[in-house]
Amino acid sequence: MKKLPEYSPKASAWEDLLKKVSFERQLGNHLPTLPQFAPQDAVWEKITAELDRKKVVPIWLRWSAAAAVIAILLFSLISKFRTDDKFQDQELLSEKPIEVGNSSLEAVPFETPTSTETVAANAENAPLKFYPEEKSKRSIEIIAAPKMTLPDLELSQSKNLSLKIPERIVPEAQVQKTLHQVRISWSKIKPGLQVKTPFSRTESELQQKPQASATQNSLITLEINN
Amino acid sequence: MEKERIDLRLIELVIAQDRKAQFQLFELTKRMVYSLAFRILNDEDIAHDVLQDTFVKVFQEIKNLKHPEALVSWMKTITARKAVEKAKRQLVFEKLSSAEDQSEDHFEAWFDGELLDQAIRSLPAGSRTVFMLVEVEGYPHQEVGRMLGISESTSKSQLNYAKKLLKTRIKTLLQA
Repeated sequence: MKKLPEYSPKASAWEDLLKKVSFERQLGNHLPTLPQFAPQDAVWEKITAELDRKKVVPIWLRWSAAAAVIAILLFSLISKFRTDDKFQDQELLSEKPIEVGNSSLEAVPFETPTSTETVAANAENAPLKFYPEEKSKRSIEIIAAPKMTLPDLELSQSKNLSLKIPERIVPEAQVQKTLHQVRISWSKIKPGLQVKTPFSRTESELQQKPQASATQNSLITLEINN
Repeated sequence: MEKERIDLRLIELVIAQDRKAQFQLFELTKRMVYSLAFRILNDEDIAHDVLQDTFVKVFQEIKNLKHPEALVSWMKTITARKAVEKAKRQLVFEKLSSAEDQSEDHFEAWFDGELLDQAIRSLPAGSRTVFMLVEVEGYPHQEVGRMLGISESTSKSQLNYAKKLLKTRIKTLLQA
């Protein structure tokens, strides 16, 4: 075997080798070639299932969103019409104060009198007028009315009460003949004021049967059924 | 490499929601995506969740990708962000003492990729994430800080801490 000549490396070979050993250099070499891991095989099925689910959902969501919007619009429209009707009814009832003779009745909050309280006491304590805070479309002018003084009346505890209001002579000329019928209810279940106008009746009938019973009867009787 | 086999035709088919093309892209890139997620999280189950979320997002939003040649980088970005989202709750950034800063910097040992991988996975979650994002994925410290909700200087100090720990762990692994 022939002996081949040997060559000496550079004097800096050891330093160069040490440089390669440096941590940063080795890091730079190995980081791009780090071993890779394989995921489980079932992942692809999960991905496709998720993709299919997301394909379906948007269509369903769009339809449901559209249905929800339509439902909200319909509901708001219906509720708006209902509230408008209510406002109209309220206006009919409170638009004009009902005139009885020379005095005018105005809405006051209803309170059930106890057995010991008298009507007169109630009349004094209760506020005379009801001032709405916000004006409606057709605002109501508040008319100052003379304070009504009524004789003291006591209510007994019996179920059926009759209240007799003493005679109040109203000149016949002042009583206006009208087609309107006014009913006031103090019932606990449905208190309120009802105005009816029987249009079927003619003016001639009115002439024959005058409405003002106050002129005929000297005594007005109110029956309270509890 | 995956990049060479992901040609424009395949990307076009994936954009057209072709299921076969989607599967082909998945097969070509699943190891890359999963390995990145697994190294950041060091948890197989969560890494699988990240893999799934990443591919769902890729297939749904690939039509918006302006530069198809940047597909692999884009997928890595999605993976890293998804992994960080998942890891954020468990990330704790240890405060570094001055003693650790002055620790021995001398390193004389040969190591390979396998050993480096083991050492990386043994790092604490916070410094491991910073190391992976900066050293492996090449994110700047500013962006890493934004992603992890830490300052740029914290990101830098966490990287130095990770490297010091890596040296120690590699030495320990070599001696074992």
